[in-house]
Amino acid sequence: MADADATADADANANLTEYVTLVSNDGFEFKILRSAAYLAGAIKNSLKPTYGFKEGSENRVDLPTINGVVLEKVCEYLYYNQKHAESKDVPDMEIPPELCLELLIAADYLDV
Amino acid sequence: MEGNSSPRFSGAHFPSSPPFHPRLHNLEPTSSEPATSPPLFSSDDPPDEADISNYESPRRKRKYQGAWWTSDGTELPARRKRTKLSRAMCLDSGCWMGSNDSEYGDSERAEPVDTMPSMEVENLAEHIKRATKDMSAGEAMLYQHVREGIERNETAYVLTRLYITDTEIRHLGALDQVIKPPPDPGADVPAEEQYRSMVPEIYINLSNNKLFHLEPSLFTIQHLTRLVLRFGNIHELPPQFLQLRNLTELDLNFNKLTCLPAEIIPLLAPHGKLERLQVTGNPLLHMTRSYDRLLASCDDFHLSRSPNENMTDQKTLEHFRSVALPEAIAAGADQHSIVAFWDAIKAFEVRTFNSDPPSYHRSHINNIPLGSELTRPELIFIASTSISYYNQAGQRLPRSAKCPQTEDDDFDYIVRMTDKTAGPRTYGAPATWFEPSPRTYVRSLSSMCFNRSLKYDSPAEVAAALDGDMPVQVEAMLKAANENLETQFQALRKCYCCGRQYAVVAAEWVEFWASNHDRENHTDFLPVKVQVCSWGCVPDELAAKP
Ligand SMILES: [Zn+2]
Repeated sequence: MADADATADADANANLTEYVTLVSNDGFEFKILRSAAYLAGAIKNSLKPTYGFKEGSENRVDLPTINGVVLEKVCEYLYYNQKHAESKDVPDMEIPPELCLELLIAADYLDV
Repeated sequence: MEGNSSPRFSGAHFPSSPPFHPRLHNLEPTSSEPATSPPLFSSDDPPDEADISNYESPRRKRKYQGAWWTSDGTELPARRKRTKLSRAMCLDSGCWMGSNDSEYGDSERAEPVDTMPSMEVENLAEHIKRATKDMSAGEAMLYQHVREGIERNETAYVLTRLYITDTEIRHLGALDQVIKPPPDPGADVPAEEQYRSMVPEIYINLSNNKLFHLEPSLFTIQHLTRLVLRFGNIHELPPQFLQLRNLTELDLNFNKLTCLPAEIIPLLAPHGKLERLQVTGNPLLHMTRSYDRLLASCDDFHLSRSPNENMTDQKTLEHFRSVALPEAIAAGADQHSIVAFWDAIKAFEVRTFNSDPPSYHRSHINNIPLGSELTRPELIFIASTSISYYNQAGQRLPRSAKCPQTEDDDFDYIVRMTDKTAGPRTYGAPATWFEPSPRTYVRSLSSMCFNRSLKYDSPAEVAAALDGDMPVQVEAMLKAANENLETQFQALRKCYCCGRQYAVVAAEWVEFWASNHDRENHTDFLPVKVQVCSWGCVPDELAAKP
C-alpha cells in the first residue's frame, strides 16, 4: 500500500523539496524532513500534490489547532520515530507532564 | 475437557490434619513439633528471606512482641492461653479440612470466640468489633480470622463460603505480618533446629466465594505458599500473580478461566516453585483440528498398544517423537490421544524435547531449574496461535488472526517443538500469514502521551480534563484503561516482552505448554496468553512466517 503511494507521488511530482514547513497557530514555522513529516498521516495527506491542495505546491502546512510548543514536540517525535524505526529497546521520548494531554489531542489530529 | 474422568479435585495432596501446634512460644515444652515443613533453610529461598540471625550461634530467638496493634506485649499466663487457643483453633481456620472445602463447621465457626479476661484479648476483640461495624457478615468474619490469626501467627486460613466479594478480601494483605514462631524455649533443641527457617508458609482457602478479579493485597503476602480458589467466578488471573514467587500450590478448579496469563510461566516449576497448578473445570482453550489429518499421521504407530511393545526399536521412536507426535498435535489430535503419545514417549525416553522456554520468557526466569532431570516437573512450550495485532485504539487489524476467546472458537495454531537433535521444527502453519509492516517497536505519539498522562492521573481525571474535546481514539484508549483498572487493578499494564507500561494491547497470542502440574505423570496442555505493548514486541520467531 505504502509502495503504491510512493510510486504515485513520484509520478505526480518529481520536484518535491527535501524539507517541508509546518506552521503553528501562533506563527512558529518548523522546517522538517519530508520523510519524517510523512510519518504523520494527516500531514502526508495534505502534502500530496495529487490532491491539488495549495499545501502540496507550497510544501507548507498550516496547523491552526496546534501551538508552537506542542508542534515542536510533534516534530521531535517525527524525527525520533524515523531514527528508531528499526531499533528495539529504545526508551520512550521524554514528554513533560503538563504537555501530555495537549500533545495527545494534536497527535490524534495528526494521526501520529 | 475430560468431563468423564473421575473427579480430580480431591484434596488428597494436602497434608491431612497436621498435629495441633500451639503457635505461641511460651507454652509447655511438650508440643514442639513443627507444623510446617522440615526445619531447614532451603537453598531455593530467595536471599531476602533468609534471616541471618538464624546462622548465629548461639541463636537469638525472635521474641514474640505482642499483638500486632500494640507494642506493649504483656505476657499472659501460659496455661490459660493454651486452653483458650486450642478451642479457638479447633473452631476456626486452624482446622485443615481434608476435602475441597469445609463442608462442616461453618456454623461452629460463626460462633463468636468467647473473650478471655485478659487485656490483650479484650483489646483485640474490641478492635475487631469496632473495625467490623460496617462490614458485611462475611467480611467481618474474614477480618476477625485475619486479625486473630496474626496475633498467634496462624499460617492456615480457611475462608470458604463467606459470600465475600473481591474488595472484601483486601484485609488479607495484613497476613504478610505473620512470622513463624520460634521453637518452644524449653524443648530439646536438636542441632539442625539452629537453622530453622523463620519463614512462614501461608495457606489460604477462599473457595466458594463471590470472587471475580481478586484483589491486589492478596499478592503482597510474600510467604503465601498455597492458595485455593475453587468454585469462583475468575475469568482472568491478574498479572500480579507473578509477585507470588513462593507459591507452591495454586488450586483454580471450577472457575471460568479460558487462559492463564504469561506471568504464570516463570512461577511454574521447574523455573519457579509452583509445583501444583489445578485448573480442572475451567473452559480452557484447547487445540483441536480435523480428525482426519490426525488419523493419517497416526497410521505409522499403534496407539492401542503399550509403548513397550510398540517402540522397542530406536527408529520407530525417532519417527514417533520427531515427526508423528508434532504432526498429531498440529493435526489437532484430541487431548487424550496427544497425552497418550506424549506419555508413550516419556515412558520410553525421557526428555526428548528441549524444555528451554523461548527467549522472551527466559528474561522473567531468574533461577536455575529446580529438581533433578528426572523428578523435575514438566513444562514445555508446544504451540502458539497466530498473532492478533491491534491498532492504538485496540481494534484488531482486519487481516490479522482473531484471538480465540472461548473453548468453542476455531483457531489456527502452529506447533513449535525444538527437538534436541534435529533443532526447531514447526508444524501446521496456516496458509495465510499476516505480519504488519513496519512491525515497529516505537509506539505512536498518541499512545505515548496517553500512557504518560496515566502515570499522573487516573482515567477518570484524564476523561474529565478532555471533557468536550474527546477524540474517538482517546475514548477507546480510556475504555481499555478502565478495563485494566478492573482486571489488573491499575490503568497501565506492563508489557511481558519489553517491560514498558501501556494501556492498549497491541498484539496478543495464546501459547500451549505441556505441563504435568495438575496431576503427576499426566500431561495437560496449558493455554497461556501473552499480551504486548507494540507490534515490535512480538518476538521475531513468532511473527515471521514459519
Ligand atoms: Zn512491549
